[in-house]
Order: sequence, then C-alpha cells, then structure tokens
Amino acid sequence: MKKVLILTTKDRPKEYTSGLKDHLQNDLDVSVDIAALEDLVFICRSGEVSIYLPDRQSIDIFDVVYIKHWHAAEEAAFVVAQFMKMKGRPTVPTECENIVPRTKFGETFFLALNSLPVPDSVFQQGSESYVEFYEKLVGDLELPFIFKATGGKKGADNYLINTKTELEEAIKRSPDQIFIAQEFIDNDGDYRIINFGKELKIAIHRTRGEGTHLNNTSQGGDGELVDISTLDQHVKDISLAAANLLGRDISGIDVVVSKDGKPYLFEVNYSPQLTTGTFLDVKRTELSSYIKKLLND
Amino acid sequence: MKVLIISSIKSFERDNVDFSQALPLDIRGDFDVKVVRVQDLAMRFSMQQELNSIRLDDGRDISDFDLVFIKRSAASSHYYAQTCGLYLKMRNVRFINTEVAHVSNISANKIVDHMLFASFGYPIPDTFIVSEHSLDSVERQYSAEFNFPMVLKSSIGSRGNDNYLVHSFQEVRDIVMRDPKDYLLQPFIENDFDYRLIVLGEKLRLIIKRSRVSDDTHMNNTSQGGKAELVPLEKIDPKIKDLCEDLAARFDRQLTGVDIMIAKNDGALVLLESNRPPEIETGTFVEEKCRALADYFNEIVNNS
Repeated sequence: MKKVLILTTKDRPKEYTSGLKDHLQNDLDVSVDIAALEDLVFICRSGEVSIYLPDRQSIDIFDVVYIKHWHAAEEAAFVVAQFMKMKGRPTVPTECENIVPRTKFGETFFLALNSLPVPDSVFQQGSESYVEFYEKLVGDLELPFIFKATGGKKGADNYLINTKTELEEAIKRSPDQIFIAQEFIDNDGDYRIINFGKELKIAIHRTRGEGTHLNNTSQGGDGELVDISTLDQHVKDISLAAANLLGRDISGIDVVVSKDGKPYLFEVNYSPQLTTGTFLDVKRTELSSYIKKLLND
Repeated sequence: MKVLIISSIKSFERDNVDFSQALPLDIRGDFDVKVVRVQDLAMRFSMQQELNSIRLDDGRDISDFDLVFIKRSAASSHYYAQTCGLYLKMRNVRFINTEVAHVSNISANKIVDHMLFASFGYPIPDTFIVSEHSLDSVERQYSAEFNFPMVLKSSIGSRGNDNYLVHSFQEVRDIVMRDPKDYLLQPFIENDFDYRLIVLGEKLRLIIKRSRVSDDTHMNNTSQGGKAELVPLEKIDPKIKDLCEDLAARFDRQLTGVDIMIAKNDGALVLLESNRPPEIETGTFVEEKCRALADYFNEIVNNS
C-alpha cells in the first residue's frame, strides 16, 4: 500500500486535516499520516540529510508528501520539498521548492542537499526538544557542540555547549530564539569572504580573542585582510558556489577550515556589514567598483 | 547615472549617510545617489502595463533609475522588497540583490501576488498599496485615480476578514491608522456573484458560485454569509477555465482556489485572488472538495 504524508502547521486546528485523512483513505487505497512541520527533526551528518517524524520514522518512506499548510514554517517546508525532490519523490505543492531560505537553518540544509560542506547539524523548531533528546544530540554531534540562533547576527545568541545544564541555560538566556545545533569545528580562525556578483573580492581572516569560541570581529576577534589569490582554490570554489546557489549578489560567506584542513561553510550572510565593521574603506571601494561595473555593462 | 538605494525604516538614517556621503568620491561624484525607505514607496498595479508604478515621494518611479540596490535591510519588509524586485525585473531595470525577486511567489501575500499578476497582464482591478507609512505618498501620487466607493482589504486577510467598502480617502486613512497593516485599495466592482475555482494539478476540478444574500455586505464569501452553489465544469466560460489553469501553471501552484468575478456593467473578467492553500476541508462542499483532492492524489500516487 502506498503511503501519503500530510504536513501541516501547529496553528491549524487538527480537525482541518484529520477529516481530510479519512476522506483520502476512504477514496484511495493508500495509508495517510499527518504531522506538523514544526515537529520534524532535521539532521545532517557527513553531508547526508535526513528528516524524521517525531517517532523517528524517516519521511523518505512516503511515496507522496502533501504540504497542506506551510506559512508558519516556510523554511521547514522548503527543506522538505528540496529533500523529497532529491529523493525523487513527489511533493505537492512544488512551489515550496521556491521558498527563499533566510535563516541559518534553511541555508545550512539547502547547502548540504547541494553537496556543499557544512558542519554536522541538527534542527528542531522547539528549543525544549534539544533538552529532551540531549543524549541523542550528543551522540550525533559529540561534545562540545555549537548551539546558535537561526536568525542570530554578529555572533549573538551563539553558545558552545559542554553540558546539559549549559544547554538549558542558553535556552533560558534566549527564550524567544529558534536554534540550530552543530558540531564544533576546532579551528585557528575563520574567513569572511565577500562576493560581489560572481566574483570573490574581499577575504578577511578572523581570529578570536581569549574566552570565546567566536571569531567575529563584532565579538572582539581580530581581522586581517587576505589576498584573495592566496586563498585555497577549494575554499574559493565552495564559497562562490554557496553564494550562487542562494542567488546572493552580495554576501559574506563564513568559512572555517578545520585543524585537519577541511573547509566548512558556516553561513552565507545576506547583509555582510558593508557599511559597518572592519575594513570599511576596502568594502566601500569594492562596492563602488561593483556598482560602476553594473552601470557600465 | 542615477542610483537608488532602497533601505528600510530601521536602516534609513545610516544608509542615507553611508551611501550619500561616505561612498568613495569616485562614485559619489559621478552618480546621483538617492536613498529611500521601502515602506514609503507608493505602489500601483494594474492589468495595463503602462499604469504599473512604484513611486518615490518626489514622483519619480523606481524604474527611472539606472541601478537600484535593494538593501537586505529592506528585506525585513520582504513582501515590499520582493515586489520591488519583481517590478524592476518586469521593467528590465538592473538591480541588486536579485535574490529578492527569485520567484518567492510562494508568499501568501496579496501585494506580491498582484505584482506578479500585473506583470503578466492578468485582469486584476487597479490596485494601490497602502500602509501607515505610505498613506500620504499614495494620496499625493494617485488621488486623481481613485474612484470611490472602493474596497480596502488587508494584504494577508482571508475569508473576508479586514475587508472594507470605503467611500473616501479619509475613511481609508482612519482604518489604516486604527489597524496599521498593509492594505490593498481597489475600485468596488459591481457584481452579482463570484466564482471560487478549485484548481488542483493545474486542472480545474470544482467550481463554486458564491453570491451575497444581504445588502449589508459587499462580499460574496460564504464565510461572510454568502450563498454557495456548485457549477458543473462544462457550464463554465472557457475563458475563465483557461485563465485559472494558466495562472496555476505559470506560477507553479498545484493547489489553489482562484477567485474570479464578472463585472456587472461590462461583463469583464476580474481576477481577485489565488488562494494557497485553498479551503478544502472547511467551508462549503467539503465532500466534493475532498473527492477532487483524492482524484488528484490518485493521479500522483499512481504515477509515483
């Protein structure tokens, strides 16, 4: 018997969907399951993405996924649609594939689904779920792990977690945030690479100060300009590929190279501090050149 | 060369300084740089391409510029940013960030929808976008074009909520200031009924004709007390069928409820909305709608 999954959102009354389930099962020779997008668990391990229902069934066992309501969980709908597309299974409506991801959650999983290197990641909409499944989380990511707000900026609401108590405290400190958990990649700094159109123009190597795991200059880290031509070609390739994939004409791509030399894409910031932060003159000059180029083309 | 920076309420002050004064002299000297807040723009959409406009307070259209930079800060009002991007794309004006116009027609927002419909010449009513920020600007730019009575409806309203028949711009102003959100202002089109057309998998499956039973309202929605009846598929004007199936296919909307009205005075088709997702398991004719959905699913499941 073929299996259909109906995804809805928690703001919709249950009876909206349960009646539909009965109708579909009566009319078709299929089994129908219903779940809320907010209850799905998204996991990326070694580049492989999995999406689970709360009972840990993978959603790829379903022949068709019908995303009934999505406006309260657009990015989850987007990742599900992209995931099912990759699996070659129909999802309706396919228009969910066209949602533009705007947070670290949607971006990270979209990059992973397109074979770009990201840290192992776990996303659940409700922060309390991270506490409830803490042991599983540690099994997936090991300790310490990064716990950061999906919409956080300039290193805010970004925690290095060593214990369950630290996780609980982080949630308490940022009660209104939605979080993503990621493996901690030990590093000696990261790169903020800025693209203007299809070209990488600026690279800043950032190193952290004492007492933090963050390299952001806005968190007290040091920044040093790096000649783009000296950057590893693979780092350049994945950075540009990430910006292109997300369709970002101007973005700040954060890349961490692990101590064993493997690069990871951390973020593709759509607002890369062009008019604030460090090296303002360089950023303004490049922006001017880009605008001039566009006008002269 | 004219460059327009579309910023936001939050970032305007900083962007105004940065882009008007702090840009390197080589570009500042060569170019006329103007910074605006996206929320202040006065927008009008119509099925007549030449009437579509997004204007600054000084009357210039955003497409009059050689390059438009839609700052990501403006994307916090992302429906506006998307609308500007789609408009500039339609007008073939160069802009960054092009990301904002990467379809995103997913958004269940009537502002973006009307821009999309206008850009493809669908028969939408003449539509002005009004918010607390753009009230003055919209009145200044377009008041000569208003034709009261008009309908003022929320850009995110559903089931006939936040939908008013208004008789003056002062009435518009009062409603917007009392309940600040984004609204569409459209001429009231005399009608006897409208159709809710359920299109699944780009195929028209079910037609519900809705008509109001009282003069106390201008709406036909059944959720506002309107009367509903099913119309056999073969009875519908082929132009209506083509319009809603074309819309579903063009915008990749596999499940949509398209609302179309026929103007009483000249019989013209008027596209009101494309609802996503359409009401299936609520409202009227639930049984028939569920069956139509089951048929559609049957086609997908058997092809998977």
